[in-house]
Amino acid sequence: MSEISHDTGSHAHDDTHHYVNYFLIFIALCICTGISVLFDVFKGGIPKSALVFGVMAVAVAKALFVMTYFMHLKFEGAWKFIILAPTAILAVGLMIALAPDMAMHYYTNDAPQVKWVGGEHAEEVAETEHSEHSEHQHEHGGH
Amino acid sequence: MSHAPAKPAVHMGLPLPNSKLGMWLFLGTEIMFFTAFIGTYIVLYFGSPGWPTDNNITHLKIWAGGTNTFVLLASSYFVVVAHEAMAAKNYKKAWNFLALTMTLAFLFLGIKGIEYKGKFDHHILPGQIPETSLQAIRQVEGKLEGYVNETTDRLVPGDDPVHIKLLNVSTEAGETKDPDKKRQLDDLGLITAEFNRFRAEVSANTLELEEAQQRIENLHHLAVVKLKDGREITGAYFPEEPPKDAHAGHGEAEGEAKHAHRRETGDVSLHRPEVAKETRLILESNSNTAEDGSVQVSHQWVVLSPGDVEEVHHVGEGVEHIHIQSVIPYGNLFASMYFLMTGFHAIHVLVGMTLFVFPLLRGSRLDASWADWVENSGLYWHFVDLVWIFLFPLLYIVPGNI
Repeated sequence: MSEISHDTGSHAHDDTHHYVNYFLIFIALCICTGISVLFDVFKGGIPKSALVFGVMAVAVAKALFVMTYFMHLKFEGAWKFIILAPTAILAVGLMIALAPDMAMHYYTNDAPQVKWVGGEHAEEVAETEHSEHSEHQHEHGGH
Repeated sequence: MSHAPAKPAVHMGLPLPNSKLGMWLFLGTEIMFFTAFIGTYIVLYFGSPGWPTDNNITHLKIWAGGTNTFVLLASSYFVVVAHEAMAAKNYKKAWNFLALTMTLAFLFLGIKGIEYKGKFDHHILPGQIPETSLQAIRQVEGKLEGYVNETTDRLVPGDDPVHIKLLNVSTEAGETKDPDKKRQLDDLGLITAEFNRFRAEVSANTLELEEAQQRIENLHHLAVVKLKDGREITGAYFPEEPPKDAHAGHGEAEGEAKHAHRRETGDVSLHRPEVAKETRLILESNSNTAEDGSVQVSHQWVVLSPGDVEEVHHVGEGVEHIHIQSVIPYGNLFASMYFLMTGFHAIHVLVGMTLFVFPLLRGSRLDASWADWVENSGLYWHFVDLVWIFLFPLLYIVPGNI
């Protein structure tokens, strides 16, 4: 089995036809990793949104390097789209489908953790908890 | 192999080996598998105001994540070189680079292991993290109860249930001939008494986190101190230690006010008063039975000089490992997501390593028949690398910045 596939594989598309300087790709990937760490080191000096955008852009760039060259997608036939397009659509679709729950909910979050984070002092929050079912609840509602 | 079949005249279907097509289809499902986790993580992150992002709290080590990114990138590079060497029929070189890949995979798991150990050491584990002060107090109550029950069960013989055995602790201490065991039982009795007092206050909801912390610290220092004048005091004993009062930084006036406030509300101050170095402090507790039968406990700090003390027997050593854990809102969700994502990734690393074991075991017999194997396991390995490329910024860098 493997002999057959190897035979057809090596003749049908010979990777040696596409010379890639893999070491150069590796260096590029290392530089990308360095950039993401630098983003973290200098995160005080840049806007937070720029930091997140930059870090994620670097991650996408690295992913594209790996997929294009290490995984040889650049040299594969059109079948790669048949396999990757549906999964990519479903993967992104999943996040979009979940988005209403994180961004568009009508209710206010009323978890005890929210009270803790919202309270200025831990003690006050503790008091809120202790008096949860008592008349004092309204006093602490403003926190 | 010389008897390999000839190339078919017409090649049907896709122009790639079936094994490679299978691997790519599998990787397609893997993409959805990991995006489901990442999507869930993003939803939970934005749905939880106050998600723990401080690396001192989450014990995420950016150096570890960054190093592991580099390790996986390098191993990915080595795999591709190995694949290239297989195509060039340089099997010795291919084997060497597969071995390097394997080494880096071990390195990755080692660094991951260090990170996981840090999580375990700091109890950053799903379902183990208190998210409010009440949960923190209840958790330490449960741990103390576990200690008391376990020790009672061990020290008191018989098949009685533990709540019956607890009643017999003092009887047992009176009857036993073994002085060692008697001391253990006496200690247990003292700790149980402190624990019962603690539990009563927790049930009455009168204990605040800071106070509970002080109480647990006092419990750690519980001792029976024999004085030169023959007296014996049982209480939290702090020898030769400058006071680490929780309000040390607040200035004296505020501390006084706080003290007064506590006295006013009938609450006993368990905070250690300021004393000079080289003095021994002990918190003496006295139980008085009032006329109506209720037991009232009063506490009082006694200042001793080193010369007063004849002998100290530490009781609280057995519970020194029991601490109040720090409160981390949404810590459990964080820990769940962290272990879910990095754990499944680590499983993928293990699977990749298993795939590499087979060609490595061939040793010098590695030949052309393994070319597809190396290529396909290489594809899988690149995917493992890809997942980490996204997990690293999403777990280590982005939180707290968006």
